[in-house]
Amino acid sequence: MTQNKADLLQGTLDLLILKSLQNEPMHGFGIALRIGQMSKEMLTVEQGSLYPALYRLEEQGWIKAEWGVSENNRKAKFYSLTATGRKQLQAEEQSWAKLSLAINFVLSHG
Amino acid sequence: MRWLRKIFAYAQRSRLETEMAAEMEHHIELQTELNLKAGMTPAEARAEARRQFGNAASIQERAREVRHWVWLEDFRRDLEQAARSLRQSPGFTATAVVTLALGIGANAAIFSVVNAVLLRPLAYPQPEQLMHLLENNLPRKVTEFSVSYPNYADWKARSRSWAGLCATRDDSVNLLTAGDPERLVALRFTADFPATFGLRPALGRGFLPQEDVKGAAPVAMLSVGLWRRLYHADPEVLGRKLTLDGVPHTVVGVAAPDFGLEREVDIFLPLGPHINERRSYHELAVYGRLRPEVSRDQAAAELAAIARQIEQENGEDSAGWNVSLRPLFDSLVTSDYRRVLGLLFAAVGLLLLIACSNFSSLLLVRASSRTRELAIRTALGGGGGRLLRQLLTESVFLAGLGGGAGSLLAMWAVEFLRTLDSPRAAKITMDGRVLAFACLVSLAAGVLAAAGPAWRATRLDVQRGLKENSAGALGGGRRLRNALIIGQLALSIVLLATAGLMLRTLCHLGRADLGFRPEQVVTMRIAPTHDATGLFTALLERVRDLPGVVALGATSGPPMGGGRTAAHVFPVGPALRPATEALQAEWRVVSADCFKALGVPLLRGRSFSTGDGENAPKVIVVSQAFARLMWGEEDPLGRQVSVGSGKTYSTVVGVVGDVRTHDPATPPEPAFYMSLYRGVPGAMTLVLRTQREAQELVPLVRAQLKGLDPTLPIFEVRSLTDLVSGQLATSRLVAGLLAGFAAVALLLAMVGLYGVMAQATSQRTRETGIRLALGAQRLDVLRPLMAEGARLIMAGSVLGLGLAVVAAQLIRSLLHGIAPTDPLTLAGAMSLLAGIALFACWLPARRTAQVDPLIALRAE
Repeated sequence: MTQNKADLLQGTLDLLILKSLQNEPMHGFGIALRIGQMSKEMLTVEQGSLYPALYRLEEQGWIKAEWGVSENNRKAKFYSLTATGRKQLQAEEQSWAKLSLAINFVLSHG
Repeated sequence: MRWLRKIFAYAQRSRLETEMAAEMEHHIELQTELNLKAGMTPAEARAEARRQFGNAASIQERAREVRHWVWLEDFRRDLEQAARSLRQSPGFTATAVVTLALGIGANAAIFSVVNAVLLRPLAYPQPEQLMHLLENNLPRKVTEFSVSYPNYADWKARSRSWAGLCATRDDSVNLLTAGDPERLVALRFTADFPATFGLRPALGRGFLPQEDVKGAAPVAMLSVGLWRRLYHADPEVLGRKLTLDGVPHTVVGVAAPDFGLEREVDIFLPLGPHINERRSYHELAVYGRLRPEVSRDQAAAELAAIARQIEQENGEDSAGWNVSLRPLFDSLVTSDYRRVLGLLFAAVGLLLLIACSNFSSLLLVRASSRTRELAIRTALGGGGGRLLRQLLTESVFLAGLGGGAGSLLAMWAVEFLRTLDSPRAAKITMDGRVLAFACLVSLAAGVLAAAGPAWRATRLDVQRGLKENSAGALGGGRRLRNALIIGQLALSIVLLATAGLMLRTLCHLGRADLGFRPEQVVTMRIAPTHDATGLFTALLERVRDLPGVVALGATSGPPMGGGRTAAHVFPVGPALRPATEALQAEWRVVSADCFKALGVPLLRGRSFSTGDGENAPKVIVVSQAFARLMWGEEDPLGRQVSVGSGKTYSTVVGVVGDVRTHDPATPPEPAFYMSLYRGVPGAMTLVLRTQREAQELVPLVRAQLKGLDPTLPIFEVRSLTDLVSGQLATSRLVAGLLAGFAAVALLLAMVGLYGVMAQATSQRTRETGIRLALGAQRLDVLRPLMAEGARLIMAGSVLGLGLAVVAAQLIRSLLHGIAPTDPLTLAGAMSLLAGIALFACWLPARRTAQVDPLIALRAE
């Protein structure tokens, strides 16, 4: 049971990361800020836990990292979506949509 | 590839570590700036940023796990999944594992021999500097010959190319023990032998130069085996005495196993006291260690110059003699044997290809039966990479299982291979290198076999895959599978044909007219230490009367006994050749009834009798070939020859049939026989034609011998049929192994063919059902089903025939009495394969044709 819960949380964070990278490459801090905005501050994650997730997505080949120069003129690592990452985002958005539809259905007819 | 990258990442983790720290530090700094803008004090801002970031250490730990161990985790999950799905289809799993186990096992077993015999370096330091020096006499058509002592001594004195030069000679000696006397295998060597080879005694010392000369006090070195057997490995053995050939020898050391030059030797003795000073007496094996700065060619050139000097100084005896060098390794492992190993390795390679393609077919079927599943997953966005990885994991996992089972098979086979009569055979083991080879082959088989199915999976047409019904989807990959089957059939024919050629060679050799009758003959050897004409005459008298002895003789060397004694014989009086031109002929010293005991027919004249003694006129018996070469069709009886450059003449009193003396493959050479009653050259072999077993006879003969000379052992007790079959051992081994490999190949190819046909015909069940329902006869529906199989068999046969002809040329040198393109063998291999293959096609076809039309129509 705990496994399922963890999977769900992890999956959600992955989805949020992929979503935040949808339009442009970003560095870790940028992603943290974007997730904060997107979730209207409802989903506040411990910012650091973003990084293991980033590395995992990188390992899975969904995002890739490149060193670049950040807005404060410092060297920073920028993450961007790969082609498979983009597909993955679509797939996860769809299944998420299905799931929330199903949940809404249950909630409104239950 | 991803795994590769992870391993790479793991290897450079320190760089990643600093990058990770830098990245997180950057994050905290940006957050701090944000906090500053929000109006916090610098200290507050930084503390708040850290709090927001969370526990950096534990986060880094989690990140590290992701980076380094997720791939292991993935791998484990893939393996689990593979194991689970394989458990669900035990038939597929078992077939695949057995197929691969046979292929990989055969390869590992043969590789263990290649590894021990060819790859394992010699046990001596800088073995590449060690050379075997041989004499040759090309004008007299002698390509490789032993060295005479005076030549060796001259080379040693004059050549500057060698860091060490030594000589050895094989010998055997009688050991007197408390029980029955024993025969020991001995190696005589010069005092500098251990230093030349870089060998150290296991105990004590080697021989001193003053012990290596004529008249020196006799000394000996024991082998480790003899030391254990006689003295229970007592370290106090040095200085003990042991009676060899009636003379007490002092033990000065125990030799390490490598002293034997890859052979089993019981005892080591100095060569010096037993050298023959004649320059024409070629009996030594000479070995040298090149100086590091001298090349083999330089040394050869120098020795050739020395040989010319020796020729000028000595005239007749040295005429035409030259020196050749051969690396020690080539001397210990003959090129013939290397060719045999190459052939066997090629054969198991083919077997592995067949097993691999069979396995690949199995994977294809499995993949096609999952086409719909894969199509659905692809449609839902499942990555192609993930699918590939799963295919590959499953394939490699199965190959791993097959490799494990194969290694067990190989371990069992190695026990057998070690008993072979092969140089270095004792070193054949499943060592790390063989296991590594098995792993590598398994991995390669797994990857290779997955290549076809994987290629298909990536080209999967999702639309079609989704539309197709389950039976239709099964048809996928047919063309690839057909190609694999044709390849398997063709390779099977190659193995069948080469095995057939070897078997027919063996048959031919087995049927060869040996010139004697080996059945029911027991041979045993006795080596007297002094001239023993009287001893053998008396012994023959006594043994002849033993119950069960039909005929009894004695010869200086039995046929197929491995020894070779030859001499130059000059004609005296009118002959086909001038009196100065010698005939090279084999000679043997034999007793009166020896021909009768061996079953060699006496064609003309008489054999020897006790009357042909020392004081009687010199007489010889010649073989038919000898007579023909010397005098053509004219009557040889009463004619005279001169043996060697002797001044006395010998008169021919009898002619006997030709005998194959060396091995069944070598045609009989001209031979002549001399009377035992004139003198005995050394060791003699008793030849007993009897219906009794050797074990029963030996004690009886030993009892008689004891009465005459209690110090002489009886050794080399063999039946003559064993001696003959011993000469065929290599051919038999090769033929047997090839036949075994061919049988396995045939089996695998049939399993593969059956699988393809079963699938192909089951797809046509519905069609067949309709035709049957419309009134078609069983035979009519069977025909199209069989046609496809027949096409595959035809294609495979034609391809296989072509390959077999090429392969047969490569093994030409191993064949006897049969052409490499022997049409009967090739046709036999082809029809055997075609027959069994048609049967493999017919089984599933018949099942389909017998289907009840109603059931067939309802099936989908």
